[in-house]
Amino acid sequence: MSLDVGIAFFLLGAFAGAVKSEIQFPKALYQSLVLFLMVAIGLKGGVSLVEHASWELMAQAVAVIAIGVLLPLIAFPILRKIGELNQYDSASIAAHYGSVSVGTYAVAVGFLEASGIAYESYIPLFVVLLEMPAIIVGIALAKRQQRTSDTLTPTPQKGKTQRTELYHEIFLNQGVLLMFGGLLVGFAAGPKIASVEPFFFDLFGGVLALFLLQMGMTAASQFHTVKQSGSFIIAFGFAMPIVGAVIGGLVGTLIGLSQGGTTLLAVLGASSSYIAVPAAMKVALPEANPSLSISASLGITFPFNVLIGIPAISATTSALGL
Amino acid sequence: MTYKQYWFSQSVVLLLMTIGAALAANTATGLHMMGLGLALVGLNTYVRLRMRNQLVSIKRSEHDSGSVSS
Repeated sequence: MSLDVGIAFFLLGAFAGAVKSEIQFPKALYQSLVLFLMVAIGLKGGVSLVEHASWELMAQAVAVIAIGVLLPLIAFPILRKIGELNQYDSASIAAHYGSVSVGTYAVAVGFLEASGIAYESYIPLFVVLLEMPAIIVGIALAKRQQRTSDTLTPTPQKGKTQRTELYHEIFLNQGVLLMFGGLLVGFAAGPKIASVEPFFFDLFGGVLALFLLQMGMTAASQFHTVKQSGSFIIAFGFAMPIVGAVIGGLVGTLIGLSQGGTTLLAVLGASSSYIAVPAAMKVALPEANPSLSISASLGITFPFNVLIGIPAISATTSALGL
Repeated sequence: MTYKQYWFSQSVVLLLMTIGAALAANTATGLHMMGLGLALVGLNTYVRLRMRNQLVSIKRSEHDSGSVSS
């Protein structure tokens, strides 16, 4: 039985974290790996856009954005009515689960390539498009339920500064800028991208392995927080990826993606953000408790998707002949 | 834990057990060991949640009836 290299590194990192080993993973290295993955994903998508830009792609993009709007709308009432969380925590967690995890996407890409399953190379465009809508929906949900608050209805001057900061986090955060920028660079460069292929494309697998080593250690460090979060948050952390995967898979089938493309869209639906959305929520919803969303996203959903979700989704799309 | 949260958690556990069992049954995917593990962990969690809920119900009924709980 062979194990995917990325998953193996994740398990190694989780074990290292669980036994509190002395592995010194520099923060700057982790940030560099994230930066590399985002740029590489964007570049690949941009190169593909040269061949595939069309009205059909625009229609697919609209359907994908609808996923980003729908998922937080599903998550929010579950968190409010069953979890009995306040509107800020519910909106924040809903935004996390409506957005995407670039790390999970990168693992899925590595898995498909190792399995020899082809996929549409413009899927990175969908990753960029799915980063933003959930943040906007999450803020709208919190604001709609708000009775009186100084934070979301501040004084005019304070409001302008906060809005500027918020728009900056939504539209110009690291993930959106690097991936969208990479898309534009790949699109503009076209065949000249060959000069950087050995760095950005050939090294992708190795960089992903190191990234997953760190993510394994991070997930292990969240175990205590996860236990304290309570069984509802734990259950939600498992349930929402399943719901998101089903919706993503259905949309992927409806818009005519291949088996690999449908798998990736299902994985995007199942994933939960832990980079871009936490930063945006810190500005938009400072009342929200970040440890709830991060512990669910990093402690439960990310490991679940990496270890079981991605292989299971791929097996399901293959079995269903999608 | 409220009743709604209890039933939500148990529903999720049952769903995970079903997924685990499906993966365990399909050896072609190579995920059968992982599926088996998921199904067993799910079963363990289901039983523990159920026992915890029954314990809470017993303590609540003892309190309501005014008997001394140990």
